[in-house]
Amino acid sequence: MMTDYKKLASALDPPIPASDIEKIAPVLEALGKSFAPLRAAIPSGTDMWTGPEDAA
Amino acid sequence: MTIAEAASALRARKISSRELTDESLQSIARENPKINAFITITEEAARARADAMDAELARGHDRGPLHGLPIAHKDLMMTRGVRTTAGSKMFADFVPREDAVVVRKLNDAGAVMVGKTGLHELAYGITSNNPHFGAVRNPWDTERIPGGSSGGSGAAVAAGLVFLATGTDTGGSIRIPSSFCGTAGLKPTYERVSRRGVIPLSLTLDHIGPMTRTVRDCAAAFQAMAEEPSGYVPTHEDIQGVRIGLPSNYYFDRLDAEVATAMRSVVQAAAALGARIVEIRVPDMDAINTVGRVLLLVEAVSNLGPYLARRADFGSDVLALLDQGRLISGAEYADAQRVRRLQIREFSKLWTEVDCIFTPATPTPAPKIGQTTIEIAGAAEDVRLASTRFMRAINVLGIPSLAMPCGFTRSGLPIGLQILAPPRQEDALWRIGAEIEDALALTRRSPQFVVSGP
Repeated sequence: MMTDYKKLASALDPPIPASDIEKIAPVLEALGKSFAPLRAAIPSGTDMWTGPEDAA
Repeated sequence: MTIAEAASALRARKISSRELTDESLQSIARENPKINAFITITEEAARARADAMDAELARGHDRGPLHGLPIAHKDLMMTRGVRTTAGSKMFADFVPREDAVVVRKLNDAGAVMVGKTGLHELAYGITSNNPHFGAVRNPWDTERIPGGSSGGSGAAVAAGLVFLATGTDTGGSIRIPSSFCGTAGLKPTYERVSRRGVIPLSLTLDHIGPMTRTVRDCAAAFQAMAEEPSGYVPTHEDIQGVRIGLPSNYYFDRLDAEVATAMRSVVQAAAALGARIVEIRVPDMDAINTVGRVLLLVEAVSNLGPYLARRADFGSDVLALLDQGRLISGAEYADAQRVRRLQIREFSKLWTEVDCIFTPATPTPAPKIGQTTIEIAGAAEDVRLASTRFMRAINVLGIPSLAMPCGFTRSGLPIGLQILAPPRQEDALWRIGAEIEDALALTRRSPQFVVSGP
């Protein structure tokens, strides 16, 4: 499901001007495309990283 | 002169802290107009402090190797009574009441602060082309960027203006300027150096570290800055049998030809010292970079969001990044931290095979000021993404990483090596880095402030 960044941006306080959202939406869409398969592959029960002790 | 050489000269009464500090201040007055490395110069306070450090040493109170040496702090570190701008309009008149922990520790070690160094606005970028305080310039070619965000620190150290400058690193901000300016710079293990009192960008990716002319200087500085320091500073070590991992994937896929040549030379040098070169395959580093970008975009908004009502006071690149962060959901952020846990676990398996890993620090030498794309192996790449490509994942992993010079291009620009080690194994970086530095014998080269032609 694609995020409607323009709609989201106009609802923020302060809003992101339309001219600015035109520039950043493609960057976010590309990032979302890279991130989606990583999210989909998270095994259930995986905790969040919470600090350096997790690096061990 | 290195930190060890200066420390020795001070104790032999061949030079005083006041003389070293005067020399540093004179160099800054002469060179800073060319490179814009400093935002604030604390001339009067530095001279008074140097006199006090000389008096202490004369009384037999010796605080260690940094006693009486002129240093600089990135203008992101809070300094009591000295404005701390973060390279931003928001903090242009901010005068902290307290020192950052790292500033206090270096004060306790006897260092003499001569000023605050320039940076990319709010430490959120890699060019140090600051819209409010001007572009910091690379001493090796003043038409090129020094890297960033700790660009002023890299430029000040490379130009020989100070022995040490502090830096912060959220996605390469110590190591990129170290690579582009030909200095040694350490991004320590996460939280090995306190972040308290440093204006934050990303709470789980920010790291504080030293930037110096040599690896041994970097080790000496780190020992003064770190929580629970080991005290280790390498002399002449044996790295026979040390297992150096050399990635066969990712790090050599898209690389400037001269960087690739320098990397081959450094691997040969390590092998000649008796190290074992072990070919390894690293996990999907692009995936780790992706997670790093999600985390940074969101955490930066968490820190800087309250200032967003003043949109006109941000530079356009920083504002664009903050806007991106506002459009990422909480669920995406939480998932990025979950993926991060898996990625750390996966990467840590490499430490059963090797003791450290060699990679190029950046895929190219320093780009020109204002350059937005760079050609690497025949393809154009965004300068920011290219410069952070080998760096950002290391902040996600939280492991220590040393950047240091490993060569120069034909046109005289520094080329950087990155050495990675397991968590809290900074001493391994000092040991290996110092031997490589001796073998390559590059540290006596100094920039000539060459202005490139049209």
